[in-house]
Amino acid sequence: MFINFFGARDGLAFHGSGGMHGGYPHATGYRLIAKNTNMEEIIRNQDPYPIADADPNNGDFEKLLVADIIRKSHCSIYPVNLKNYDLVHFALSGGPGYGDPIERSLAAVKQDLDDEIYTSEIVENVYGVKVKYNEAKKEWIIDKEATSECRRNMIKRREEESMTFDEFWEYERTKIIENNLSEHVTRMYSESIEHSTKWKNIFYEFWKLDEDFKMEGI
Amino acid sequence: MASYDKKTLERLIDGDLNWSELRNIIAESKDLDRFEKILGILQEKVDWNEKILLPLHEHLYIVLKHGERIVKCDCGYEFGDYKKNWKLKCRINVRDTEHEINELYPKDMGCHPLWMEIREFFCPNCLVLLETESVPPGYPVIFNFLPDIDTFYKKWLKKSL
Ligand SMILES: [Zn+2]
Repeated sequence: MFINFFGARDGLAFHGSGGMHGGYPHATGYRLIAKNTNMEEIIRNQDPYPIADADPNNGDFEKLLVADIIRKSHCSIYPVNLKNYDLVHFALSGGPGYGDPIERSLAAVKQDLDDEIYTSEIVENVYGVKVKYNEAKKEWIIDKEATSECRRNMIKRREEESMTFDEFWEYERTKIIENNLSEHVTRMYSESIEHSTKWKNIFYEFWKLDEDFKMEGI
Repeated sequence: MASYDKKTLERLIDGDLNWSELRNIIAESKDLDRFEKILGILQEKVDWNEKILLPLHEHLYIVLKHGERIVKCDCGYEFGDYKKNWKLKCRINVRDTEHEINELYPKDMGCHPLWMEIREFFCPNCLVLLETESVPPGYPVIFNFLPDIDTFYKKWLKKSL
């Protein structure tokens, strides 16, 4: 049996313009297809097979299957032919974050870990929470002292790695005037400028561009 | 008409209500004195004395100072005129490489830096993360929200300022 499978979701760009009040945008989607699998043998032997992709950096599909595994970060795909024992996985994401992640309650972070929403690596990088897994109890344990230190270091890093607005303005403006933008972003700007004088004025005023400035290639 | 005590509203602001309590508050018609009560609670929470006119954002308030309406962080930092974009006073970090984006997202679950970047806006004093923008590289900084304070007080609250 063959089926045609296709779908579209946000893949290389986030949906919407961010999280709220400091929260990060919710994850983008990707496509995962496993073809020419050994699922027939797995089912016959009652072996474990992937039912999720909790940590794409260390995927269950790669660990549990012998297969041709295709991961596509652009999430829209044209129809693909699938046959018996092929597998398809696509993740739906939750909503964007709300508030500064390092103010999140430790109980809420622990719940997400126990529910396998996030990996411990993401929890450390985003929420500044240090954890250990208790194999015997099958639960995550939060190291409160290490977490406080981690969060203090994140605040220090925020200060060290960030720019003033003037520095940011120069940094970002250079991308435009030196034409360091990708083709599709350049095209998006130039078409928007062409369609709307109002938007053109906002864009030119914000970056203090000369009236005769043109996006490259237009 | 519903009315809630101060304790309940404090827990509402702190995100400590459970769903069955919260659900009723969302579903009920708004209590008429809610804004007053919320302002009172917020004013008690901050360490400074300027009168809060409007909560603007997590950590940020529009306050009255020497007759001027300014944006002020709960840490005390003053961003200035509320009609100007407070983000322009922030410290800003731009995540525009795969490495910086993949610190926050597993493989294939963040944006591609050629399509979008993540900008983090921090209060220059307390360094709380006030806002993130995810925009195409080169996008002007977004002005989130310019409230019409006079209309809100006069026509909605029927109060003078
Ligand atoms: Zn602050």
